[in-house]
Formats: sequence, C-alpha cells, structure tokens
Amino acid sequence: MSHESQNKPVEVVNPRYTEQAIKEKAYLKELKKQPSTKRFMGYVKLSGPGFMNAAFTLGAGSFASSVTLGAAYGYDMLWIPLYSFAFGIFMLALATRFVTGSEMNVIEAQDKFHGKFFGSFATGLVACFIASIVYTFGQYALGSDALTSLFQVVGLPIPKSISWIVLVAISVPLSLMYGSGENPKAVKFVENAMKVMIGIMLLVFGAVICVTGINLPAMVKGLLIPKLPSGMDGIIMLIGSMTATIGVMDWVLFNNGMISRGYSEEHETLGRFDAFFGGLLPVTLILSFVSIAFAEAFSGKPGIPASSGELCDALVGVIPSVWIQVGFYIGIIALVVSSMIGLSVTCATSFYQSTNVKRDPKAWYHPVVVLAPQIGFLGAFFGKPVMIVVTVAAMQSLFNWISGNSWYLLGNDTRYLGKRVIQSRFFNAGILICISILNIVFITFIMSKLGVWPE
Amino acid sequence: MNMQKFLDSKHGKFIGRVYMLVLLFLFNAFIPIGAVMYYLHSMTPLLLYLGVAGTVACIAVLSTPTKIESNQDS
Repeated sequence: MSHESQNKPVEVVNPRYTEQAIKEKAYLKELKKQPSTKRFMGYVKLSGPGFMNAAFTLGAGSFASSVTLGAAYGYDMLWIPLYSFAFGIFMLALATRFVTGSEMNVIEAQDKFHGKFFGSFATGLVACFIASIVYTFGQYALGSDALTSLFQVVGLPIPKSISWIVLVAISVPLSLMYGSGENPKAVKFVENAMKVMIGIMLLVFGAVICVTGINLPAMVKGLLIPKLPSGMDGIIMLIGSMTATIGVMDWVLFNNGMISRGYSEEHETLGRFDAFFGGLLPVTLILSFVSIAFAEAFSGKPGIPASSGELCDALVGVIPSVWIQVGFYIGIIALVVSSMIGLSVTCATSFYQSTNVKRDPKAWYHPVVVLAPQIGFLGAFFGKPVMIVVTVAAMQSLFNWISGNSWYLLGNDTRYLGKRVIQSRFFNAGILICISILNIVFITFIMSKLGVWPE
Repeated sequence: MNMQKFLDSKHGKFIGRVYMLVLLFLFNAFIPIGAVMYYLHSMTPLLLYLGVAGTVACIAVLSTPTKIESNQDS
C-alpha cells in the first residue's frame, strides 16, 4: 500500500447500505409474516441498541440513587426507575422514528429546522459531549472503589491508584471498536458484550437479594404505586434518580446505536421491541434488585451510612458467602464499564454531529475524541468533581427539556419525516408527558437551588 | 377553529405548537410551585390544581397529529 493511500481519509459508508443491513432488512420483512413466537425470537436475536442504552443508563449515578433510595425509603421508591424509563420509552420510540423515517441524523435536523442552538449546542455539545466527559469521573470513582474492594476480598491489597487501570483495559478497546462505527460486525460484538454485562448484573444482584431476602407484596406495591419522598433530601434524590435513569443522552445514544446498525424503515418494530425488552426490562430489574438489597439490609435501621460507597461496604459485611461478595463487586464493575463505553460512544458521535469535523475512523483525532471521557480516570484519585457535576446536572436538566421540545416538534414536522410524521395521538401524548416530567424536574431543580424548600 | 390547522400554521414568527409548548411549560411550572405553596406554606391549592388541569389540557391539544398534506409552509 502506498504512503499516499495510507493517509487518504476513509469514506464512511452509510451503515444502512452495508450488505449486513440490507440482509437484515430482508430478514425483518420475512419475519413480519412469521407467527408471534418466531417473530419474538427473531427480534431477540437482532436486538442491540436497547441493551446499549440499558448498559449506559445503568451507571454510577443510577446505582448510587438506587442504593440510597433503597436504604432510606425501603421499597417505596422502586417505582422511580420503572416510571421514568416507561415515559422515556416514548422518546426512544421517537428516536426510532427519526432513524427509520429519515437519513438525516437528529442533531443535523435540529440544526436545520430549529437552529444550531437547539441541535449542535444544546443537544450535542452540552447535553451529550461535555456531560459524557464529566460523568466519567463518577464511573471511575465507583469502579476503582469496587475493584479495590474486590481485590481485598480475595486477599490482594491493590489500591485505587492502580485498580483503575483495569477499567481502562476493558473499556478502551470496546469503546474504540464501537466508536469506529463503520463495521456493523464490530458494533454487534460490542452490543453482545453489553448483553453479557447486563446478564452478569442480573445474575449477581439477583444472587444478592437471595441472601438479603425479598418482600414480594411490598415490591409489587413499591413498583406500581408512586409515593413521593418526604423532605428536601428526598426531593433532591428523586430528581437525581429520574434524570439518571433517562435523559437526552440516552435518547441520542439509542438514536446513534440504531444508525450504526443501519436501521431503516423496516426496523421500526424492532427498535420499539428493543427499547422495551433491551432497555426498560433490564434497567427496572437491575435497579430494583439493588434497591431491594439495600432496603432489606438497612431500611428502618438506625445509624445507617450516608454515602453509597459506605453502604456497599456495609452490605458486603452482611453477605456471608465470599462468592456473592465477589459477585456483587463484579456486578458494580460491569455496570461501570458498560456505562463508560456508552459515554465514550456518546462523546464521539455527539462531537462529530455537532461540529464540522469529519468523522474519519482512520484520522489521528478519532481515538482522541472517542477516548476523551477517559480523562475521568482522575476520578479514581480525587473522586468526582462535585461542583462541576452539579453544574452539568443543572445544565442537563435545562437542556433535557429544550431538546425534548425540539424532538417533539421534529416528530410532528413533515419537512423532516415526510409521511412518517407522527400520526398517533397516544404517541404524541406519551412524548408530551415525558416533556412535562422533564419540565417539572427542571423547575424543581431551580426551586431547590433557590432554597424554596426548608432544610 | 380547526385545532390541527392552528397548531401547524405560523402565527407571527412561530407555529401554534411552539406557543402551546410554552403554555405547557408554564402550567408545568405551576405544579411544583403550587405544591410548595399548598403543602409547605398551607396556602390555597388553586395554583396546583390550575397547573394539573392546564397540563392535561395542553397535552390533549398538542397530541393532535399533523395532517400530512399541511405543515409544508411552517
């Protein structure tokens, strides 16, 4: 190969025209004619972006919220991940409509129809690019803690200042593989790795609640009947949990996951199936398992630790089996690593879609963009930068509803979707309920910062 | 007046859906503000009820789907 051809930028083929995507499209057409069980199994086989989304949602933020809510309120707050993801699923269905209804990516469409402030700036740079870098600090802080504790359980005194390297070793290759995006096989490989990690989380957190016990009637009541937490701390925890479970980053990641897999008009049912079975179900189960374990171990008991890290150590202290202790920490590591991959992917895709920089997987800057969130390794040494995280969370809660409104308008805009524009009152109402929740979260956040609630 | 036509045609700088989204945001804001007034300061629950009713009304209006032939001039 000549030197010239080595330096030539790679032309990225639209993934929906790859051989694999075209084959998948034909298979889906055939699948529609099959009986429901065969169709179900076919969709399970093809699912992927939903699991990516679940793996991303299940990160340090949602884990810490579930731990503290479970310990403080018992089973009462189990409804939060279920309800917030259930309403968020309308936004994921909207993301599916965008990918299957148009070849223009959503940030570009926002730029074109609503202006660069709504697309490139609000959705791309602030809510996704900057946030993905800032939130990686928290993943490293929790992940390196879990690794050090895991090593301690098996008798290896490895400090946090070294254990974070394991997180880099797992997350960097998978992030680069998914972030290149030009190879649907590599994308599918990473999606399968995410499915394995979700499987590990289900297994180990399920094993933990086998040890701590479970109150089934309380679980059903907690899952289905919403109850508001009392006091300022409870409201802040509620807001934190709702935004940690679903927000604009989740929508963009799901959207881009489908683009990478080459979704086109035949994929809409698959996208919705994936959002439910790959996203809602595992997220609700895993976060509920975590909350239940901490509810059983600590709820209503005096002198429980305040931070999620101390709570984890205290929980492990009451688990008699070393294997389940090890499993618990492995579950946390799987949760952190999968989120880190999602953050890297979101960082890269939102950067390219928001700037005029050409997405070229062979360019020198591509690994830098994909791996930019890895600067969060400093979180293993200094913890997460609380002031920056609070500032970004505030900006995200603002940009969540700005993006939500813009996405609703795009879903109802024939200039973008043509005849695929939303034609269902129910679909629109679901999106609007989600937007209303985001609005209320934003206003509540502002009110809490203004000190409207008494301490 | 035809609701769908109102939502998808321009009134000044923006289409009707944009004005309704602003209204939805205002009614959404009334909910937590009204809740604080009622539960923490034992004031009238009127703002809370107005927020809930206005939110439901705005969602009902905004959920009207676009007519495929229209919305081309917006």
